[in-house]
Amino acid sequence: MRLSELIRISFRALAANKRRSFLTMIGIVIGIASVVTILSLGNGIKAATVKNLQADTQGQQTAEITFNPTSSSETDAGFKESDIALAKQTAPDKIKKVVIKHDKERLQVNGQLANADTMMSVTLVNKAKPNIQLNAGHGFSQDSLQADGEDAIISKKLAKKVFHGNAAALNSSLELGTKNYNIVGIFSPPKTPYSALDVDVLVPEKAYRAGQLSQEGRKLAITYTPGSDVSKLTKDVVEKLKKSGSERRSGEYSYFDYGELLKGIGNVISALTLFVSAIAGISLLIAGVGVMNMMYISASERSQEIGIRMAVGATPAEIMKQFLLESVMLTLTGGVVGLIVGALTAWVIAMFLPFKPVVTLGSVIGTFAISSIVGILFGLLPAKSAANKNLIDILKS
Amino acid sequence: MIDLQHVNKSYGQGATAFHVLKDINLHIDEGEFVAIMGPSGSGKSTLINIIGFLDTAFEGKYFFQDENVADFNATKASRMRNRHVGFVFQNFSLIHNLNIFENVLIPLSYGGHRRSEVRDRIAELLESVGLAGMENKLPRNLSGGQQQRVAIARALANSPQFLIADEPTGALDSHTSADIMQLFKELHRKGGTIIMVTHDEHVAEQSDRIIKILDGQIISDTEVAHATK
Repeated sequence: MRLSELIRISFRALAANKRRSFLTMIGIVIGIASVVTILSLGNGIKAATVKNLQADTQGQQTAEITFNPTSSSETDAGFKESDIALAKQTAPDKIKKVVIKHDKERLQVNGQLANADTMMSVTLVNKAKPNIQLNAGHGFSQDSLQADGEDAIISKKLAKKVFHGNAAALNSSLELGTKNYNIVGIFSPPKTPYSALDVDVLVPEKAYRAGQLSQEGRKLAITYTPGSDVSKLTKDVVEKLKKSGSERRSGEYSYFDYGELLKGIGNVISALTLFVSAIAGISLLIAGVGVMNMMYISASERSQEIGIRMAVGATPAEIMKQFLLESVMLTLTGGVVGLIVGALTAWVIAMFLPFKPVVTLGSVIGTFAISSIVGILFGLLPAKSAANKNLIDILKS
Repeated sequence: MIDLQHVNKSYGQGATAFHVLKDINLHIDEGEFVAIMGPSGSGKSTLINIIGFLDTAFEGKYFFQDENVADFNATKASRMRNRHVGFVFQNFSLIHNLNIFENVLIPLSYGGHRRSEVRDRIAELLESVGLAGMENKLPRNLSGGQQQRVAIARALANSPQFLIADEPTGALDSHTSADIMQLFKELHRKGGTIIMVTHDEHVAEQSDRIIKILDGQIISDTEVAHATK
């Protein structure tokens, strides 16, 4: 029998029992819809997360190498121009740009306070009023933000430790590098953990840079040509720096592998999405059992039809195909409807969430595949039982 | 054409086995109109199931055009039925959710034909059984006699070598049953081979040859008087 004819009679048989076919299909629709909803939301979360974590919005691939001095006397040490050339040498055709970045946050600086050497954590600011709570004194004046500015603000904790009080600390002198500052204010660090402002001293950036002996920075930012293996290339650069970098004797070079991190985070989200989808997929199994049940009932109700078809020339394989096609048509239609329902549901849910759902080609193909597989898997036994019916017994009854 | 040699058939096994057919030897030539008679349980239905390739699990030999039917598997038997046998059953045996056209189409579609190729053929078949233009009706809208005509049209669809009719008039009133018999006789006149089971003497009289079966054995095989003329 031709496939077109087979499809036609299968459709006819399903349509002959509309309510039963419809109810069985609802199970499949719910199963597929819940899987599709979760998958598209999960893909949306993954896309949004990876995008947010990539610092560079142009999709550039970048990496940063950090220099950490080993002794406190070398706090000024960092990357020099020679290191830029060295880094570029590693892979001249793959490295687009190398820039020395100056650390601005939580610098460990050795300075003089009340005529005593003190290690202080320093953050450089560019605003007259950083987001802090002042306990005494005032913030930076506009003038002090320039290179010749001399204002500094210290934390309440440091004031208490060194000067035993806010009043004594105000207007005292603070020496960082070659520069003298005047303490104009006392602040309480914000409560937020790991805040850049949770430090001992705040000074304007330009004033601080002017007071530094060398223009060495602690960070080396490398931009690669698109498609490069960032992790490997960065590792090569670090190896090179360790061997012949300008400050290799006074500190250590290290880098943080963002590519690996992003990959890892993406993998974790994908795995979570799949896991939750699999749980939703259990409803598909239940729906599949519904399909099986319906097909068994159908096969036993239609044994007369099976008998007639076999008597006039249907082979057992053709009977089996017909029943299998019926269950596949049922689940496939349910799958398509479920896909649409699931995508719409995800879209509606995402209106209340900060990201867009993503329906991938993979989930569309997957839907078709899974609904067909459910149809075949749960239709196989009923179809077999229909095909193996004893012709003589049917004709006798 | 049909040649049964020492055919035996039993249901069940061992001590409880029931011997339905006992050493049947039967030969039917092309163009014969045979009526098989016998009381219920005599084995006549079993016999025509074997003749019509519905049942291939028997002992002995059955040659159909020099092929041994006992060697057929289920698929081969289906193909042979499709090509060479037409069945007309007592209870009309139409599929209720298909219209008349599609019911007649069934054997043709299992023979590999497309709908579009056989429209004319089906119209012709329906006309020959007196149901011209009824293609789009559903079986439930037809009378019993009309349904049996559809079944005959379906049986003839693939131009089979022989027709098997199992109590074709059993569920019909005498007037309709006379109409159906008229149709069979016409088919026979055109050269068709018909093997018919009945327990109605009056119906059997209209065939050319009457085979009587009792307890699984052929007890008589006689030509009907009018056939000799």
